[in-house]
Amino acid sequence: METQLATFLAYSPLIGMVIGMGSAAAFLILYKANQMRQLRVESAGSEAEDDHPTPTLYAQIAGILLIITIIEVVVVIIDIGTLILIPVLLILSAIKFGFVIGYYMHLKFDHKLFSTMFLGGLFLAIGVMAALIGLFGNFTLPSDTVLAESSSHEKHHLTHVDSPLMTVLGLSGSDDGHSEESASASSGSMTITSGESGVEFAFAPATVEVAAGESVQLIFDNKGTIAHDFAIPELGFAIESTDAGQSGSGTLAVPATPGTYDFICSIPGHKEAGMVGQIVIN
Amino acid sequence: MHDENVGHATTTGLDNRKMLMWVFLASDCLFFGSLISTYMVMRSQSGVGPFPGDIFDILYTSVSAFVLLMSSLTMVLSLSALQRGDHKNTRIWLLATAFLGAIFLGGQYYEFTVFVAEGLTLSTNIFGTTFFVLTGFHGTHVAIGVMMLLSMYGASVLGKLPQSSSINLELVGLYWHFVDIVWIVIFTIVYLIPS
Ligand SMILES: [Cu+2]
Repeated sequence: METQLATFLAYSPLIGMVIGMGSAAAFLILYKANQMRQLRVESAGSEAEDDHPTPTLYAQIAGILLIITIIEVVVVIIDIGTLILIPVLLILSAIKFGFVIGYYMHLKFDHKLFSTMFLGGLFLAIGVMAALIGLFGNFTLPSDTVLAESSSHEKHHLTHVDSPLMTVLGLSGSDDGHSEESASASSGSMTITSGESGVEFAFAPATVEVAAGESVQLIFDNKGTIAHDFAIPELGFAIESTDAGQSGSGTLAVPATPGTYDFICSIPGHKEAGMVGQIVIN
Repeated sequence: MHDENVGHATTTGLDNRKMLMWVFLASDCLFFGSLISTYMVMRSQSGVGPFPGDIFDILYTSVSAFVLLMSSLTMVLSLSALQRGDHKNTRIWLLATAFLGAIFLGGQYYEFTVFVAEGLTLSTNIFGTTFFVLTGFHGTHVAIGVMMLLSMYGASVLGKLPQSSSINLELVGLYWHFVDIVWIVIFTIVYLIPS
């Protein structure tokens, strides 16, 4: 949990900047448009009716919206780099947003109370989005990070599993969370993680091998952002719900006959989302 | 039916129905905001594919986004015609708007079919779940909008949409433009921004 908070804090200036710029752009367009309108109304006296947009203006705006959409698609296709791309896209879509609500939805010409009502809801929604993403977002820094490394070292000491498995997990790339490698129990203890490399709904490793008739201590290490559990329904084995950042364990009496069983997270929907793996008994 | 143009005296001096529509749209912002953030948080969390990068076709979606933008133009042109008392053009642009909305829906249906064929369903993975719930919820808004547009067209044909009650068409227009701006945001966040 601490790691995630730290990573989120590391990213928060960028997120804040992007959200801020996006909403500022939308707000500025409306504000500017209102100001210009007031100036024109003052200079034209009471002839505010003339200020009403004409079909020509509507068509011109449609042209602008089309051009902005083309620019958006072009910058995505030529790939200008994620750090520039995201702010550019958000600003461009905020401009489109501003044109539609300002002109097509007449906020520019209508009573200010309508704008207040709508923008109030809009900013509330932006706040809710920022909170949700801040609370549940799983941010991986683009290059490898000190934060991630230090956390996996902590886990080493916590669980005392100094197997090659942990080394493999610790070194796996930041965007490769779908490792297919299997692990076998050599020391009578085995760790299975979830939330590895920012992938919430998956177990790593997805396949484990155990020897028939042995007794194996299974450690479930939840590195994700929400609670998960670990169960082998056919063997009646379960490690109960484990909160984010916690680990739990249980001793599995492996049957004497070889076979393959599914292990899952039994929280509704999690198996379907990808939290399923196989335990192979040799 | 009372004369729509008069309206009731209100404390704000503004039309209550229009205020209601704006407050409704503001509340809908929160609905879409939650669905969009859920999608953003969950889309790269799937344990199994297909992943967003595998199936999105940006050029195809750009065309649908463009169709919906243009329907906003035809919508304002329809309202503008009604406010001038030009009923013929009101109907033409209304039909055009409903038609463009229907094209968008057809495009979305086709896109969903392609995604399902490539193995992404509502229950394949968490990306599929959040993607279909978000875009399906938006598609439902579009479908309701098309029905409202067609009923406006019907009302106009039956002579029940006089110039004096252009507020009715204006309210439908507000809803329709809102559906369009939501798509502007979804198009950018879901399709254009890489996960
Ligand atoms: Cu789970």
